[in-house]
Amino acid sequence: MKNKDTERRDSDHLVKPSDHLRRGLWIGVTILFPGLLFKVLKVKEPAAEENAALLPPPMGEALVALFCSKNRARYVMGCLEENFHEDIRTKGKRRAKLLYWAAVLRSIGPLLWVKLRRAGLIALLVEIGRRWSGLS
Amino acid sequence: MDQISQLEQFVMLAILRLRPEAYGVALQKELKVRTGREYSVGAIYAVLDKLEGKGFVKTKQGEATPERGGRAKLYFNLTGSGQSALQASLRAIDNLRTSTPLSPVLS
Repeated sequence: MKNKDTERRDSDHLVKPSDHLRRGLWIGVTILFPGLLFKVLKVKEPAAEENAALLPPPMGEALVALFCSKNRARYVMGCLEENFHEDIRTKGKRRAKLLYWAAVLRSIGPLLWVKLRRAGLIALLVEIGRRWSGLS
Repeated sequence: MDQISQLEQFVMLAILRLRPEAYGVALQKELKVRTGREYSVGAIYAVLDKLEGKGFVKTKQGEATPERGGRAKLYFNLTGSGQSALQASLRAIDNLRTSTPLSPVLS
């Protein structure tokens, strides 16, 4: 028979159903009210239709905000937006949007790599791999 | 002393060429003009992050402009240790290059 302390320690490792509920609620709310997602990620909300054409795609900015480290995100987004406005002037709105998405997708990889390295996840994965393969 | 990769060399040289106006977009354009390669904004910031971590680069917040959506620029400059690391790295290339027989490329 387990004593109370052991039971408490066992329950610490379990994911509580309330966590799933909270996560589900959060996803539901962001689908229903996308404006909230933009507010949380500190990304500009899509403006009125005529102004929206002159703004970079907000989902692209949200992606950068997700994958970039917090202290660099606004500078990266600023640089992408500067390029976007120059592309609008030289290549037109439609092509500028395409180029913006291409720039976002090309930028995500290196930014994510920096974030993972900073979090020490790469070192952790290497250590797991070494232990699993029996090299250590 | 820390080793410097080729892209890090490129970025550090571009910072020296552009200073004190070296920020993301300016560096991207300078690299495109001088090397013929187009690096993404993310790749440049990743390198700058790495260089800052090594203590080779320092940053200074600049002015916000409307074409950046009201966001500020971040200017980069080389530190003393950054300059000496770059010089050591370029000297190593020079040492290897001198008296190396390079056969002419016929195109």
